[in-house]
Amino acid sequence: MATNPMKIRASTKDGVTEVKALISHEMETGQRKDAAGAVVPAWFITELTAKHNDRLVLAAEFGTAVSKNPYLAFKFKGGAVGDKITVMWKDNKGETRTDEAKIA
Amino acid sequence: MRQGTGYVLLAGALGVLGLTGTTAAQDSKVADELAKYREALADGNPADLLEVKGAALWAEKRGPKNASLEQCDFGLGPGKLDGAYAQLPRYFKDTGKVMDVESRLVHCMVTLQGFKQEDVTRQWFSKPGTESEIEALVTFIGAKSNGMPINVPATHPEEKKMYQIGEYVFYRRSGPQDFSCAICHGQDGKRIRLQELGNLTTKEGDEDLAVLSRFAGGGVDHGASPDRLHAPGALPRTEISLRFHHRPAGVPAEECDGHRDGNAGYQALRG
Repeated sequence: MATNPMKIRASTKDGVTEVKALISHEMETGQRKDAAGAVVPAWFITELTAKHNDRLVLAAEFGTAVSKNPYLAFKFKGGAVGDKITVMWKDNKGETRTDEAKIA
Repeated sequence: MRQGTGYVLLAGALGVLGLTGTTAAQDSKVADELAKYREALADGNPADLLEVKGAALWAEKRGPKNASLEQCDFGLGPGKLDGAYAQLPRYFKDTGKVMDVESRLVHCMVTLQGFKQEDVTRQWFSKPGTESEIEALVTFIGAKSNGMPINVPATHPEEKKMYQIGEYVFYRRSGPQDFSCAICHGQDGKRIRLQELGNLTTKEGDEDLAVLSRFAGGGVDHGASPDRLHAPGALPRTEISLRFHHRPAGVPAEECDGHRDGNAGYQALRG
């Protein structure tokens, strides 16, 4: 199944860049049952990384406690207008998705 | 004895007065809290995901003709989307019909991409587990008109006719719940949970709708709206949205895709 794009926004102020990412993912815990009573298989993001140009600024492990379509905001020092922010996630099915945005 | 009754009455009257004052204060407090809630939600609005998904679908080559939708004409010229949503619905010469954003989109999917109408219109809205392409595309197209003034003069005779049907439908009680739009949207200051209902019988109410409709359209607070009343097929939406878009001319179309709520019954109505 094709993955859906993320919405990434990044802005910099006083030498600190704030990145806001809205990620499209079902994030199934594996605990839910569907209408027929069958367990809905677990399907969730396991790893997420964010890069400023080629520099890793955030590496995270996600689990089933994270909601569907998660929203992630974080700040890092540095970053200039026009720099590239790349967010990549990988889920337990081995699917990955990478999206980019420019710092505004 | 008589004196006692007097006290009771007086106390009662004071109670009512006091209550009215508190209600007004509470209303403005609620409005403040709602504003905070929306501000907190602004960054993580799931409608943004639909918007980026719609943008990708718009440019992707698909269908039997392997074409993108980029040549689709919403009335401002092929592929011109900025402000297009704010002047829909309108009469289109090439089809000889008054069309809104969805019917025009479907027209393009059929003519440009070669899809079959019954296939693309099978799913107007997302359901758990299945996502609607039309919903994403319309969110994307609607967002291209953010902040632009709504301009639907409804001068063409066909548009006038649709407007009148829309007005009639707005006040007509129907369906298993014997409801009309006006029952929920005909009074000032009413709300369902966190969503203002908006009095759509006044110009001010129409303007409110134009601003607030992001929430209805984006599905953020969807649980709050009686879905059965806004469900696809429940409303002849081209007529209704013509009514709304016609009235508040000059109102900024801030995420004005809330009218998507009632959908496609239009097709059923017109056959």
